[in-house]
Amino acid sequence: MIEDILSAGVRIAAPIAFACLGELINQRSGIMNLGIEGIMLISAFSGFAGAFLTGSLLVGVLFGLIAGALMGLLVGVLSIKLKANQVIAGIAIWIFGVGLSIYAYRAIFGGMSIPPTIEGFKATPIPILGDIPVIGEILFRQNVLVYLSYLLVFALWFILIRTKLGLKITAVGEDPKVADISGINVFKMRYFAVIAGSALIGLGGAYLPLAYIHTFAENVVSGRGWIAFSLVIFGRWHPLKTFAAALMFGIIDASQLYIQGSGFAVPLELMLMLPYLFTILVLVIGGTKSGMPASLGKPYSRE
Amino acid sequence: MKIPKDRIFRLLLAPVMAIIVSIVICVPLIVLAGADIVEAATALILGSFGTGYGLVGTLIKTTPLLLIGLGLTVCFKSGLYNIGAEGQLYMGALVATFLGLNLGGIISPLLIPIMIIFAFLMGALWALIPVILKVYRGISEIISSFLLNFVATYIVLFMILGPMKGPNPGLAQTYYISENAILPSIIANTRAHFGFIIAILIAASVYFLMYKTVWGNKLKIVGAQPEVAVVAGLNVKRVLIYAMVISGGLAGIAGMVEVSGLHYKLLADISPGYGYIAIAVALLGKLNPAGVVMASIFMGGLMNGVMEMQRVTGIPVGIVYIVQGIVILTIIISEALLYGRRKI
Amino acid sequence: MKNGYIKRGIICCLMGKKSNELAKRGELFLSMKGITKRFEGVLANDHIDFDIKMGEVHALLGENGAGKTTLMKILYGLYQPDEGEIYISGRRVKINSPKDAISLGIGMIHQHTMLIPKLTVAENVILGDKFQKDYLLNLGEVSNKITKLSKTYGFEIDPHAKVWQLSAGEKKRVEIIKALYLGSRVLILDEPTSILTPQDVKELMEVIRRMKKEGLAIIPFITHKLPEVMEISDRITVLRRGQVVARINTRNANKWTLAKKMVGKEVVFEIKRSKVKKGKTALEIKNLSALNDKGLPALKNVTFSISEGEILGIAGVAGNGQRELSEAIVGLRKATAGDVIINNKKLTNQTPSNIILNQVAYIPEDRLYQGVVRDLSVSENMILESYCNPDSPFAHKWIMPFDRKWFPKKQKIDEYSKKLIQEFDIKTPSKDTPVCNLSGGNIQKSILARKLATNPKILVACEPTSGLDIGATKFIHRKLIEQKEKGSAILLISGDLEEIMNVSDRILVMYKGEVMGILPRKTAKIGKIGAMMAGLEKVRK
Repeated sequence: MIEDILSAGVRIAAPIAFACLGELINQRSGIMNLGIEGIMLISAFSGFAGAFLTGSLLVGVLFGLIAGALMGLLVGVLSIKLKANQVIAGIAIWIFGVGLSIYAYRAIFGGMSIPPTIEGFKATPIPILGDIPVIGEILFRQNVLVYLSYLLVFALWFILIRTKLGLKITAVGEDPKVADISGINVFKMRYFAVIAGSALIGLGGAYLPLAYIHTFAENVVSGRGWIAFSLVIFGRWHPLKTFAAALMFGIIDASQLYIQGSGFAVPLELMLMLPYLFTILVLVIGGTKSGMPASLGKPYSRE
Repeated sequence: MKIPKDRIFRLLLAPVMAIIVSIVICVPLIVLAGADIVEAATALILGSFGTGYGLVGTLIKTTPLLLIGLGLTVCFKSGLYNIGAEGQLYMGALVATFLGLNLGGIISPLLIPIMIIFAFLMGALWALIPVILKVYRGISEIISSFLLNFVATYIVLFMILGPMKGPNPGLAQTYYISENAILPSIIANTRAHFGFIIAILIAASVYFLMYKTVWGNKLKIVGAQPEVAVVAGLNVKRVLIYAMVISGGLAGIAGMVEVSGLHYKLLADISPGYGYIAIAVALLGKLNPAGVVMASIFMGGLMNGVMEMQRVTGIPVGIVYIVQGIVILTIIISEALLYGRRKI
Repeated sequence: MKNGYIKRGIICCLMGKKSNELAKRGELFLSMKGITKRFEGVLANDHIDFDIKMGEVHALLGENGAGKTTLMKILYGLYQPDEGEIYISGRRVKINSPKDAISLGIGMIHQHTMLIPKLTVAENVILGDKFQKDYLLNLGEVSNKITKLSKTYGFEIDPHAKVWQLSAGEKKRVEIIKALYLGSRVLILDEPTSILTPQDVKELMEVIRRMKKEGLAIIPFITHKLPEVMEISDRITVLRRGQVVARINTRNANKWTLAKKMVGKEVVFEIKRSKVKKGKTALEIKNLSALNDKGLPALKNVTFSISEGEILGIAGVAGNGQRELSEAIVGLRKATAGDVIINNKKLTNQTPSNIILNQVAYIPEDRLYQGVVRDLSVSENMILESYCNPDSPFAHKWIMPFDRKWFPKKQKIDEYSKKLIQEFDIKTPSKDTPVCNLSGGNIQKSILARKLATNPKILVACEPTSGLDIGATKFIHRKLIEQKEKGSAILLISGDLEEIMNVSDRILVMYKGEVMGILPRKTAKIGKIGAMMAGLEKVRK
């Protein structure tokens, strides 16, 4: 049974992990993208629509990525070019995303008598690894997107910590003035980070209809975007720690479903609150200083 | 980009831009949904300010927006960002419902002020946490107040499904509150309730507080240049705490008003995001209570009109949120364009 | 390092220049001729000539406003000269941007640390390196180069250490390594020792000596740190008011002549003063010590006192602890030791409001950011200090049962402001004009008016006339003396020695947070004060 919980935990964690990693890139470059929930909604719908209309899951994934990237461009223009308040912009994008996804879904699929569904990603076990007892069941008998998330975590870790690109992104988020003086194009870097990061967030959104519920519903994201935001802070803006936090959340969520079934009286709402409470606790104990990109949320302009 | 600093231009840029952009984006969406533009436009205008029915709906939406907007005005003026108004509203509503359910025997003229006071205190308390974290630990009040929103909504959900559950277990609502806890109606046979009067009275009080008292002047100085405030001997920490707490309290009253004047019970989704939309209202009103009154009427009318438009034409309800999102974006964009690097 | 040169040579070719040969020691590398730069009517650089040879340290001395910063920025490509030419290795060049400067081998080390604390030394060093084509961070190779470089110059730096863990001195050396890594042959040092402890300074001197031996050229831009300059440089050029007033070989230099050249000729006393009888002690500072914003000691055991009816002028170059002293007195900075005694009351580490209530008025150095609320009107600014004072005349007598202190009386405030505007001759369209619309002089007058109107027993004035024209300056001096004659004790802090000599009764010189000496104005000689300001002399009292 534990295996089932852990396995489900990994599945639940995957979309959140994508969103977390995407937002991680955003924030490391200094942009506080609060519109995660809205971006996930829009890309969830785009992914679903793409898969439904073309019959190809790959197209669905692609649509999700593109939708995310486009929204990232919007966030970028607002934060970098217009230097608008990033917090309020994020909330506006969230609200906008709720509206647009509902609207688009009803406009295109509203007429149907039974809700449209797709053949989503199925679990595809990896040949040898999937047969390892216990671990194989949990980690290597998942769908393709979950495997992608494993790869992404390490890819992101590698890029951020071990490549010049990652160094530039970090520099730009810490002290854009020093980065500018050193010859780095702060604006270009930030645009890159926000678009790439938002594309990843879009992937997280597209995962939900494509690999989780295999249809679209208006509350398909239901707060995962905000959880992802909290987890980035909780994970101290480090790819591995953030991914671990997402996994932890997934496992807790999965176990709480089982606990509910067994009649154990732990209030659901209490569990739902936990990520947020924990994040506040982490902030209080650790102080916001450690790990947070020093220029997070502050627009940069050459004096 | 240099924009002429003409005063009227500055005041009207945001709302006008909001309307234009909304039209530009919504027209194709409406067409896409297969609705008639003229029908939609008519419904919008009638629904917001065109008919008695529309006006009442507008009034009902304006009330919480105005209350929260006033609180946010005080708070933003001090330099703090309260993004937790939504949660503060929920906590205020929770307390008000609790009192309305359990103290139902007390007569109205006594019970209602009690509910207002406790709703204020609860909202104030919810806002106290982030401001203390900010003032004494340097933690961003944006993040902490925002995270507390979720905690508040889940607490309320827990209470509604548990200790305060209503007659229908499948529905996330409480029982109706006692008759004595209900705010009287101000226009006969309509849903328009006394909450609007309360909001207007508070608007006048906030105006007085901000412009006619010494504390209001202190608020202005602390928000404008806190360094100078320190040098001049002002107790900056205290001003910040009061400002945030007042905004929390007013959001709490907004929660109370929604329960007591409109729904007569506590719902899990009692607020369609008033706490966030009110941010736009405060900005649109240029952080001036008189402006906030007008901005809240504008937003209330817009929300109601769009809802009516949606209802009449059958366009998906998402359009309401799309418009809200666009309006907020155009407001902050116009602020950014006009004032360059200023904080908001 | 060789790779860097080859690549730089290629780039110079691409830029249409001849390949840059390694300049030899003793060769003239950089030469600036007739550099002139004007800003809005101010002649910042007036036909300045300057040159430096490889293996030489040629220091540029001068006060703030002498033109050093402008010259430095021209050399680094941040400004373009209006007239004059720059030659490198005999070839005329145009430096249009820092990028050009770097490719020509000119590196700049800023006064304030330009490193990213969270990253390691190696990561910071290669941050701007355009020559590294790889996508991967080859930190191993970089680290080796860094280690080799630092060994060459006689110090140890751990390339894997995070910058926030380093001391100020180590950070300075990282910045030097960064410049060297990018191939700099001429290093411009902007106030290199300003943030360093004495130990760090010693170590930096060693590094500079080594760099000289390796054939690099160093140009330190310094304000007044004469002992250090004398120790390390081969030649010294003194700038004053945009012009070169002296150029000497250091071994021929005389400290006192240099000091005098920097501060100028003897001043003429313009202000007539009546003899004021000194009263009892109003402000007493005993063994006061405090830290600066970076946590380093800024005040070391400062002791002095000011009597009623006296102006004590604090002379010294900005950054030697004067600001920290004024802040410690008025409660804006924590004193780590010692006492502030105001009118015989121990008021160390009190809140600013408490200090204000004890009749101490403070004119902050930064008038726009600490002195006034820019967007508020002249009138509203006039009563800023009244908020912390429950006995202020601006509380309202209100009929309703409210506390007196809750409502401001607009009419009274208006009258008060109008009176002060007139008395201090503040030129403003109206009392309701936002203060940011006024000229610097009038802003300062309004600050002075507001502080003096309360007839403070003690006035702490920091750089009250900086940036002001002669008319405003004279007015403020007159008002200060008037206030002194009313019996106030005034602490005047200024980097302008002329001002101090004109206005003060006694002069205290501060250098690196210590009191170098207190002299009565009548017997003070410019040369001696200049020497004290430069750290060359200390008077035992």
